[in-house]
Amino acid sequence: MAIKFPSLEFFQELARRMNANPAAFEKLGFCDTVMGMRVLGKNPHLYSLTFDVFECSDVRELSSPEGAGFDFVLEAPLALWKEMFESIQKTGHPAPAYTLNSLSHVGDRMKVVYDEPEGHDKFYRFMATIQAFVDQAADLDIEWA
Amino acid sequence: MAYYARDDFFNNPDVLERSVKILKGNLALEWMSLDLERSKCRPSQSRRGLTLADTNVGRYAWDQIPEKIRHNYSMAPRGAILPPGLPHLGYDINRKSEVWSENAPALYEESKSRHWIPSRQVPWEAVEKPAHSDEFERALAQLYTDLTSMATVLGDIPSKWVWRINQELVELKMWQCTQMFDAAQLADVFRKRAIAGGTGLGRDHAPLGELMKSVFDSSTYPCASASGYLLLCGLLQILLRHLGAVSTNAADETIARFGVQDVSRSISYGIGHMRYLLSQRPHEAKAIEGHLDEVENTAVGLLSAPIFVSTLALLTGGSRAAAGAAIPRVAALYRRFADEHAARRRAAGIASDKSPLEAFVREFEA
Repeated sequence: MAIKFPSLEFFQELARRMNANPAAFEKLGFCDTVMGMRVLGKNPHLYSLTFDVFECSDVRELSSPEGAGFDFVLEAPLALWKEMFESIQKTGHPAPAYTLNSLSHVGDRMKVVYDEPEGHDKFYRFMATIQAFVDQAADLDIEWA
Repeated sequence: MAYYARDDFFNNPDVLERSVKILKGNLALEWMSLDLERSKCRPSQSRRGLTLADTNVGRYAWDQIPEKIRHNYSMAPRGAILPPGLPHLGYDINRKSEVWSENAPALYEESKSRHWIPSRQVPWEAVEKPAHSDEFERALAQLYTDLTSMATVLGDIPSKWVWRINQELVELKMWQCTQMFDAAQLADVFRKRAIAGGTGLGRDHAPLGELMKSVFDSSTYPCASASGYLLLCGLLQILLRHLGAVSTNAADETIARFGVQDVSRSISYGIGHMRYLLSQRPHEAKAIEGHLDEVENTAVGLLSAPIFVSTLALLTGGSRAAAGAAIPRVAALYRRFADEHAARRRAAGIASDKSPLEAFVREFEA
C-alpha cells in the first residue's frame, strides 16, 4: 500500500522499520537527539523525530517548532525531498550528491536550522544513523503529494 | 630508572618471613574489614548497558571531585581507600576545571558505541573504478594527505596531556583515550585511501605544519583544547563534509560520513570544556581568546596557501579546467567555516572581535 509523503504515517513507518531492525542500528551506535524535518511548499509540514539509544521512540507532526526542543531541523522544499528519496530508491542508498550531508553542506539546497552549535553538531555526530534512517524508504511505495 | 622503591624487598628477611607465614595459611585479611559504601548499580536503560553515568554514585561519583585535588596523587582509582605511603605520580594537572566537561563521560560511551571499522566498512572496491578523472584523484590524494597530518596531530594532543592529569579525573582520561583511538583510525583511513587510489600521498607543506604546530605547542591544556577541538576539529569537520559532498563514489562518501562523527564529538567536548572552565575560572577567558586568535592566524595561513586553495577548487569544480570558476564556492565553504567557528566560540564563552579568520574570509569573499 502506498504511503503519502509528506505525512506522519511516512515517518512512523521509518521509525517502525528502525525499531524492528535493531541489529543494523546497534552497529551504528547510540543516537540521542530530537530533530525536525520540515517540508516546504504550498502546504508546509514539520515533523519531530526523537532518537533514543538505538530507536526512534517518538514521531509527531507539529504546527510550530516552538517548545519542541529540537537540536536541529532539516528544511527543504518538497521537490528536493522527492529527489532525495528517489535517489535512495534506485540503489538503497543515495548517490553522493543526494546524501543528507551533500544536500545540506553549503545550505543552498537543504538548510540545517539550529539555535545552538551543540545542537547543530549533533547532526554530524549522528550522521550515519540519520542517513540509515531515511535510507529505509528504499522500498517504500511512496505517493507524492 | 628514575624511581626506586621504598625498600629493597628482595634482600629484606622480614619480607621472606612474612611470605612464608602467609603460605602456611596465616592469611592477612584486614583489607576485608573496610567501612565501604555499598551501592547497587544497574543500567538505567538496558539497551545502553551499564554506563559511567550509572556508576556515578556516592563516593565514586565525579560530582565528588573537588576543583583542587589535594588528597590523591597516586594511581588509586577514585573512591578506593588510600593507605599512607602511596607513591606520588607527579601529576601536574590537578584542577578539575582545567580539563573537565560535563559531557565527557557520555561522549566516552558514545564514542565506544559508534566505533566503526574502516578496513571493512569502507567499500574499498569503489576506489578501484572511481567515477572521476586522474586529476581529481590527484587532488583527492592531496586532501587526504593533509587530513592524515591533521588526524595524527589530533591524536598527539590528548596524548601530550593525558599522563599529566590526576587519576581522580578518570572518566576524562578514558574519554581522551577514545579521542586518541579515533584519531589513529582517521589517520589510518585517510592514509590508506590516498595510497589505495593509485596516485599515493601528496605533498606536505609549511602552512599546514604551522597550523599543526601552533595547536600542538599550546602552552596549557585549556589552550590546546580550544585550538584543537574548536578550531582544528571544526576545520576537519567541514573538510570532511566537503569531501562527502564532492565525492563521486561510495568509498569517499563512507569515509566522510563516519569520519565527521568522530571529530564532531571532540567539538562537543571542546565547547563543554570551555563552559565548565569559565564557570569556575572566568578570568581564563582572555588568555584563551588571545591564544585562539593566534592559532586562527595560522589557520588563515593554511586557508590562503596556494596548494590548499587550488586543491579545494579542483575538487569543488570537478576538474582542473573548472577549478577557477569554483573559487566562489570555495569562498562559500570558508564563509560557512568562519560562521560556524564564530558560533562555537560564542557558545563556549570565548568570542573575539579580533578574529583573524573572520577578517580573512571577508577579504577572500571580496
